[in-house]
Amino acid sequence: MAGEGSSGWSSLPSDLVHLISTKLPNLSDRIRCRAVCKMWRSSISVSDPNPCLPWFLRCAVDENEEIPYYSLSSNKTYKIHCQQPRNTYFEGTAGGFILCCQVSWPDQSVFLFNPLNGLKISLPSPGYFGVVGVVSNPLLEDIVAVSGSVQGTGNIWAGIIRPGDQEPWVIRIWNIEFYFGTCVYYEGLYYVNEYN
Amino acid sequence: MARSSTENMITLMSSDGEEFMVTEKVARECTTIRNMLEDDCVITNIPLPNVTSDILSMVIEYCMEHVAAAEKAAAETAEKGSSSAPAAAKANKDLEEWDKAFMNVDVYTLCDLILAANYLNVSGLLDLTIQTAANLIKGKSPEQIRKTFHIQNDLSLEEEEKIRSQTPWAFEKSE
Repeated sequence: MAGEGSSGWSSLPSDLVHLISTKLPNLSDRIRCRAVCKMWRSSISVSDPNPCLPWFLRCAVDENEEIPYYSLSSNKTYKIHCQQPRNTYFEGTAGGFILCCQVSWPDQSVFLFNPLNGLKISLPSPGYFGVVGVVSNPLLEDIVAVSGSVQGTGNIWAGIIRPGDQEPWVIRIWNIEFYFGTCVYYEGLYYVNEYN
Repeated sequence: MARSSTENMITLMSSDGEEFMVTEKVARECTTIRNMLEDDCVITNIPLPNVTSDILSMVIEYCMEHVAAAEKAAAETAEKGSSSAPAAAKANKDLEEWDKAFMNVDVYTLCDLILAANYLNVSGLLDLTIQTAANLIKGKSPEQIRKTFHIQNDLSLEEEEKIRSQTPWAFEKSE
């Protein structure tokens, strides 16, 4: 009879448990699987980037220190509790991190935050009117694209900041009046779009 | 299924000693066996010590159905010169329906089929069984998953509590 001689699901090898989890597009399902038993817990990763359908995050932490997100795969809204102050804004995501900009006038601090494991990576502050987005996996390439206005002048600049740096690396300064909307990184090139 | 008399037959032997005679074409659906045949083309008897007879017979049934479907599609294409899209779509749908019915098994059999599909490297069957398992998991609580698959909870209360407290949003009851 089937099942005889094998101890069934409790002894399913780790790589096959992991394979099953890759067919679960909803992250909540994967997290619940990790609470099934030790074997499943060690076999299933919550940070596999590939099959997870996207979340839509609201662009700031709400008054209850919660990040509301909408999951496309389950068609539901969830709330992740995080201890971030209210005046934190999200500027983009990459590699599982949210690029956060915390403003308490006239200062601002910029950091990367992983809402699932609470990991926080500080970044050098780009100065007032800074960050427009993350362009690559910060853990892999350590690059965050930023732009800002040069204080006391009408100039704006674009560049990158990296964890551990003292200050941003300015790639270019323009002496014109426009703002950057968002930025992308594609095949080694860094693009920003502008809006007036 | 019609087959030419010149077609090579391969004998597959299950862990409990039962012999299954299949065409080489069907056997080749298992990448593990295909590799053995390519290494040693005169091999005709293959022992499979990791697969029981009832599971092996199911794997063979799956491979035969999929070989037959592919042959039928190829024959139709050859006959008409080009494949007709509606006919191909219907054939695909029929095969999907067959797969679905084939997956109407208990969870122990499903587990053994996953292991066999992985060992014999039948990619279509592995994908089908893995997807079936994932469908059984979707939307369930850890307790319901354990009950479905007969898994013992060996996590300590603290470990379980830790997972729940780190990500409480994942444990909210579905509406």
